[in-house]
Amino acid sequence: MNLFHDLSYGFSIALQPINLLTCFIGVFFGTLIGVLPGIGPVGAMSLLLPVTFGMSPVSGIIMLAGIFYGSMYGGSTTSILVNIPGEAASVVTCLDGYQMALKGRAGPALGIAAFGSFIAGTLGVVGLMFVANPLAEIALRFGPAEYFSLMCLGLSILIYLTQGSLLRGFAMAGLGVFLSLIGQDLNSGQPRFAFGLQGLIDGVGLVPLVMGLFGISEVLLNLDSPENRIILKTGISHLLPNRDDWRKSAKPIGRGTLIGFLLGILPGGGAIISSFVSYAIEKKYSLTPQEFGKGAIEGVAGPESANNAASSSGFIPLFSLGIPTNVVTALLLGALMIHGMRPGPLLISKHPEVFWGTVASMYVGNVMLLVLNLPLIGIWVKVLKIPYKTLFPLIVLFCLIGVYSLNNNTFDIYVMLVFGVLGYILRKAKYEPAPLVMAFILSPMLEQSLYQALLLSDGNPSTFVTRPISCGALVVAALLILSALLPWLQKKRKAAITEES
Amino acid sequence: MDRVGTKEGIIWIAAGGSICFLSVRIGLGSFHEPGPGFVASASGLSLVVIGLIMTFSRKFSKPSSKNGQNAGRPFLRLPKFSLVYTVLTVVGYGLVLDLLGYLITTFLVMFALFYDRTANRFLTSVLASLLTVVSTYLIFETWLRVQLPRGIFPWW
Repeated sequence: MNLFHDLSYGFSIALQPINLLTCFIGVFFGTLIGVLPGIGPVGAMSLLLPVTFGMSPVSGIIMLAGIFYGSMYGGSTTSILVNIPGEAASVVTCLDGYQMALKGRAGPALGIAAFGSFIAGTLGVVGLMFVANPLAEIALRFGPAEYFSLMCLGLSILIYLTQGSLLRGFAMAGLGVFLSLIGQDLNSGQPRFAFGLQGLIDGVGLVPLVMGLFGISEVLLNLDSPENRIILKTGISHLLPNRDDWRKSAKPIGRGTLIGFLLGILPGGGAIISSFVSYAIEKKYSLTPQEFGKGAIEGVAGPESANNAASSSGFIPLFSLGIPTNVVTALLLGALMIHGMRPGPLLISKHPEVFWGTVASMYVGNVMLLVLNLPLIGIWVKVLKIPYKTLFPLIVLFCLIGVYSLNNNTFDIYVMLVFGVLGYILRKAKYEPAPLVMAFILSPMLEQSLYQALLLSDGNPSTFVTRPISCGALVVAALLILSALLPWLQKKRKAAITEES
Repeated sequence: MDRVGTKEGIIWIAAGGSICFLSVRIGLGSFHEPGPGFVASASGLSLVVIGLIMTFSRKFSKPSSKNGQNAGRPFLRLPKFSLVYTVLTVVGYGLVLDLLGYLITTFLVMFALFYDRTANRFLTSVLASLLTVVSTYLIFETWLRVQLPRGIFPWW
């Protein structure tokens, strides 16, 4: 009964005209970003983050969340029509979606992707609603030691699951920790690592860092090696899947939703991994596995459902523990903090409007996305035809305005540019920026939890291993780190990642 | 021996070492009273360890496959002109934004980025830049109330 009361409270917030508008802007912009290769949800969210400063926290979070799950919807369009994934979670959709399009079945592929996404996204929100609140109540019993260890574990899992070299992932995290420490020390107020630069006294801003690493560096990479987009010239008709399509897709959608929901809770790119796992399971249990890769609709329905369910369940650790599971939720965590909220188990009880308003807006947003994705597919196809040389100046300009409007300071533009060039170099050298951003966002909380835990234990570091939850988390984190040194495990991990790629 | 891999390791050792040095300078503190350099020293130390593993694992391991050899070699060729041009344009934007104001600076930068040297479409680039400046000004300054710099024309 209480749940329905809370949910109706959430709807009373989500259905306010301003929140409906921000939700619409979020899902529309998210779909657009998902459709356009070359700018991902993180870049888009960092672009619009400064815009949310003038809004109430709930409106801002609704919009940013809308961009995230909207991009999951939109990403499938480019995968099916152009064979280029709009964002990483739609990579696997290319395999069968594009083959379906080549056979003249682009309509049902796009249709089942939209319906599967809608069903999984909605069920994912139901799960979020049921799981986040009880988990937050359990988390209230956690002390600083548990928080420190859980954040270490979260970071370790993310690095472990990052594509590419594990050592490079750890190097990125180490660099992220250092960058987050630039500025005033929380305890002493002493400036550190500012190198005499006035602009660094307050630290490196999250927005310039993310915009540089994901926005500017993406532009530079695209200018360096432009992709040739061949868009199907055949007309797209019959978007509604037929009875046979539904029969084949029902179980993959159900399984994809469950897989996505469970994997989305774990740190480390749940949406991406869950789409691959879903595809592998569908292929394994299919009666016609030979059809996979040649245009099997199950290969579109399962992964598309999985990545949308994961995008909903990824909010569970964020709202209940205050721990992000991927860069997108890390950015949302940053947004919550910028809006003056302290993420953690008390967030739901102290700011129920933010949690329940966002949950309810996700239901509304999923309906909006279904409306956007089916009748407007013609428009998204036209958007795909915009040449990159026209698009990239606009992306650069939005980055510039977004970053300047934070403090009306040109110093932030240079910070963004430095991270843009750094991001370009790092990505060319096969370094993933995600662990850097996660570490950058988590480190201030990690440092605070560490100091608090040491203070409470009278400077005894054994407090981290004498408390069972903390010890368990640290043991798992240590095992993951040690696995980097074991050649047998490294080979297995590499094999798994190569298979994904 | 993979020279690029060794260089990569040495870069991380140098970066980590510098962080450790700076952390010691501002004070590490103790477990009872951690100083401002406490966590930073840990991150620096981890970078040194990573650098050492990278350097020595590459040094003693067999050369990898042809594909693997190119991993981590971002500077096998010079960056394209368009990259340097875009970066310099953004630097220029930062330099003159406060002086010339949003409208003029953005118009110039947009023209510089839109202008296609190969197609030589001067008028199209001018119109696209104008349209971009006007629409973004309306969205950000008028609608979202973002304080954009006015520069030498304060009445704008």
